Amino acid sequence: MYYNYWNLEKPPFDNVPDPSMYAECHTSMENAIAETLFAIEEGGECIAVIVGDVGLGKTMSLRMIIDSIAQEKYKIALITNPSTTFVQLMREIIGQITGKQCEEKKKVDLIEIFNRLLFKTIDEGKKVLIFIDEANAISPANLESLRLLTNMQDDKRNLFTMVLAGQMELARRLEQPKFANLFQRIGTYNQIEKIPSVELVKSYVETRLKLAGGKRKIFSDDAFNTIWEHSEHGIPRLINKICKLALKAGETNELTEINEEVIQQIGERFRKITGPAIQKRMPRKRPKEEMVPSSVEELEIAHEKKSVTQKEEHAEQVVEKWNMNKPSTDSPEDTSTTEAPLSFSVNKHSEPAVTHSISDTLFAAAKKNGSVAQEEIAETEIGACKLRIILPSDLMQQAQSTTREHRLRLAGAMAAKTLKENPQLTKSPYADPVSIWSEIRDLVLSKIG
Amino acid sequence: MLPGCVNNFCILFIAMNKKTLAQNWFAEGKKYDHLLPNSEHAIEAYKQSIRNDNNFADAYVNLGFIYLARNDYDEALKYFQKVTTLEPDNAETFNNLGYVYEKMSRLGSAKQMYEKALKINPENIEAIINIAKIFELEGNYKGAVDQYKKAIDCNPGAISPRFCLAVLYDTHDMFDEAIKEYEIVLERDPNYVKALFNLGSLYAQLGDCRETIRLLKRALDMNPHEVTILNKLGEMYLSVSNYSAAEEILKQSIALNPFQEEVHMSLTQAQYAQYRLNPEASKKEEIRRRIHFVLTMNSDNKTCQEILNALE
Repeated sequence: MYYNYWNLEKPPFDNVPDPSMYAECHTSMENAIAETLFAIEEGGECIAVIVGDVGLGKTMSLRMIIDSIAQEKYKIALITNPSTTFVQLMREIIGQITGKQCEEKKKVDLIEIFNRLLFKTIDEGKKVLIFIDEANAISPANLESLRLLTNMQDDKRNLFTMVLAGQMELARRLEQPKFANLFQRIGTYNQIEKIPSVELVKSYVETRLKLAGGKRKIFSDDAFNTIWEHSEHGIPRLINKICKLALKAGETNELTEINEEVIQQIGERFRKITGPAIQKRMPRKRPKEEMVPSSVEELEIAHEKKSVTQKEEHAEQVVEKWNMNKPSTDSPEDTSTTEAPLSFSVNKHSEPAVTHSISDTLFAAAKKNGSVAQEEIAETEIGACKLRIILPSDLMQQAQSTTREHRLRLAGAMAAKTLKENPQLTKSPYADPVSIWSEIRDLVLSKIG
Repeated sequence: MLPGCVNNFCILFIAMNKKTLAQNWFAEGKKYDHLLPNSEHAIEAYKQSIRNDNNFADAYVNLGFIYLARNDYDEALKYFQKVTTLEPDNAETFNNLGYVYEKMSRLGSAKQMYEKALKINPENIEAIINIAKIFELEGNYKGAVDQYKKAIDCNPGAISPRFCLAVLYDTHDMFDEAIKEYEIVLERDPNYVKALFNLGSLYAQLGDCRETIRLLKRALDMNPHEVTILNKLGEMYLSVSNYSAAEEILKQSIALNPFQEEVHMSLTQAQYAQYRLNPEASKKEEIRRRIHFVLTMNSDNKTCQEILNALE
């Protein structure tokens, strides 16, 4: 393994929860974990809050807190997607605590069940803990309802602790005056931050190496500035990834230290990293016996259906084989919207003509202005498609009163939109969309002057 | 025949008739479901089927699937719950119910359902994988790994748990572990496109361009019209300064989706690099046209302006 090459006892930069690797490394995360644990175990606080930007380790902190507490002393509910109704939220909390589904429909009944559950749990010598991740997604109304839950305390102590973890939006929301009552009940409030300086990144890296059994300097001093830059100024997950890749590259190339150059090369690979393709998940439909058709007509329909099904199944297989996030097919911003309306149509030779409006709103706006929409038509052939562009006369006038540069941009935007709305123009795998766009632009330009 | 026997016979006949009617309505529902997926017609037909035979599990299942497809989880839940009462020993019914709970973001309930499925059939790898997915959603990396390994132990030949485990390792930057699992997946199914793509992407992170290109080319052979593969392969060619190959691949991607600004920029880079080696007027014009096209999409694109200035 690569870490053996560097005389380490274990991998120092794995991006997985490991309490033994967090001491003195990422102070704000360490504090968040320690203080929340204190709020639960010692302080008996009502609410503990952890906030931080995306990717800084909130979920990992929650996991480490849950893994650290004595499970036999608590009944735990963990909610990972609270952007649901309060009824669903309560059903889930109660379901997790009791281990049985709760399908109660009324909010008041759910609150009553929850209240009974709190006292029952206390009687059993345990305490209820509710962890809510992505708490920034809780609606204001649900946040208020959750606050009402915190009223369910006896005179001496809090009957449960709720840990809210969320993005900075949660912090902003909790600070609003209308949530003052909720804010007052917060026992601990922690913000997980990036590692704030190059020096602390160096300390982070060297501490982790030491915790993994490292006894000598592996990263040269000049490497840390580059790590800082490529880790988006101190995101621990990225620091770990860069350092791990650097150690692996060092092993492959038999290096004796990791310097700035190695980090730079690795950092550049990060430029366009996307997440892995995942498997599509759907419940598996039960295999069913085919119904025996009772008539010839049904037999024919069944036959048709079978062929449709076969096609669908084939399509599903293709989709199943390949179901990753596709790049956005969103069109470019329509820069034409403040310019001038234009309409066009595209026909395949064998198909009836269908006219598409390139910008219906603009066209309508032009009409509203009292302009006479006497059309001028431009036609061309692109591949197997016949392109027909209709240019209202008022637009021609408008275009003529602008500069050539402006007309060029106008024609370019129109051509781009034409291309977008007519994918058949670029259907051939050998079609060059830019050439086609250019051709359409020239055509529009030749008409608008 | 005695009067009592006649009565019994009539009851039996009516019951049989009802069952046939239920089956006919079910067939009708399936017909609609194929022709007009998830339509009201299909729903009505299945409901008629249930009215004639309120223990007809398949009709409840198909209704559940229709409501699931319509994102009406409360209704879907109702029907899948009914199936669990009709077929309490069928692990699959609990997997389906668990999936509805998952869609409702009720992960605890979902997990309980998957556990029930496992109680019925301890080797139901679908249920084990589902539990692993819940652990993943809860950020429980170790729990998820253990579950996937358990699924692999149950069925060492199954590809699905291995691929899911590989992706889990991959997303946590456990490079060696992920590579090992992807390779096993590819041993079992050499044409598993996602495994080819993901493994290629992993090697790209590790800086092994040759292996990345080899794997991405194989993925592309399997799925030649997938822009994600084309873009990744184009980027790889660009990174090893194989500009003509990058140009060819990125042009294919652009032909499939002309409005990818970043891909146009990479293509421009590939073309500009070639132009600098061999300054041809036609190439220059092609680059200029592309830049103007990109500027139509985003007039603030600074790289475009820089290349345009360099060309002038």
